[in-house]
Amino acid sequence: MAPRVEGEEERTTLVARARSGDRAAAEAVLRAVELPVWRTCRALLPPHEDVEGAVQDVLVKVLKKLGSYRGEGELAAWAALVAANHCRDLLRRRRLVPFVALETGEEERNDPAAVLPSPEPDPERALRARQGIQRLKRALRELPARQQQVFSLRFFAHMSLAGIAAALGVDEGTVKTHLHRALARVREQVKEAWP
Amino acid sequence: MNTNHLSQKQWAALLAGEEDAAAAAHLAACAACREELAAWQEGLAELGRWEPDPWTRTRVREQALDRAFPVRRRVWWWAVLPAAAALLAALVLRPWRPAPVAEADLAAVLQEVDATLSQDPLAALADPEVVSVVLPEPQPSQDAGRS
Repeated sequence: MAPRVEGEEERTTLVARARSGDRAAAEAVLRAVELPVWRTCRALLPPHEDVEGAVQDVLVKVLKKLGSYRGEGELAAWAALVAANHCRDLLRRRRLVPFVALETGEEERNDPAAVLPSPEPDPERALRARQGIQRLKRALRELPARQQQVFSLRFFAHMSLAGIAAALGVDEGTVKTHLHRALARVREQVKEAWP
Repeated sequence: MNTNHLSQKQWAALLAGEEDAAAAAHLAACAACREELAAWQEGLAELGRWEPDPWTRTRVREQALDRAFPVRRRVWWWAVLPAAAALLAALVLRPWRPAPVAEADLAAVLQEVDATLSQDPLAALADPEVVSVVLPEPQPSQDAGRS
């Protein structure tokens, strides 16, 4: 499990040390934030993208942008936001967003996990589960930025609605609206696999 | 497939983890909706609990740290400074150039040369070896043959 930087004082001290060039503190910051970053990049980038490279870029950004972290919300949520924005920029630069095909099944073929034997006793159910996850990931990439951010923070950084609201600087009702819209849009594209 | 049992709003609320008494009552009675909800919860949980293998995770973290905190090459000043001083001293003093001749020595040498030349200006050329090379002696056997 990633170590959580719980207290505000502890968090502030750690960030200050990392900013002043303390490598051990910087490493502690990365350990605290890296899992949501990995999950966000894995979910938002297509399988042929270099997820490792993206994660590394995000972690460097996190360390370099520590000065702009105001201490609002958890570090992990802030880092997940950086990751979501980075993935979006990456795809926009490569113009991949408008060209994601929904019906080719290419992602399932390219995903190494899709060819591994599943521990699920029912093969058909296991196949549907894998297809559903691939469709979910594709659908996530097509969400508007704010919905994507809220989704990532809720399901990859495991933030509460109040925590997401603090991280984004909006009220909880706005977060709830974005999350509901994101889930409704995603479900439309996934329901064929998860009836 | 039946997606009309629960409204879109109810589905969104359920997936967001919100409590909804009416939705809960429907789920209790509807196997299809329960199955869909279970598939969703499973899929979201899979994405949310996935972790890279520890090796990759450590490697990527270390690479990011190296990029953010580039290791500066250490300069061994305690070794470099004496070497630089020695080089500077060598350039200034130039120990390899010929030692300057003292003026007193030079005067003595010139005096000796003058004295030699005043006695016999051709003495330096009168060395028998030099003369024999410049003017080889005639061979007596050749002269005898001709006569």
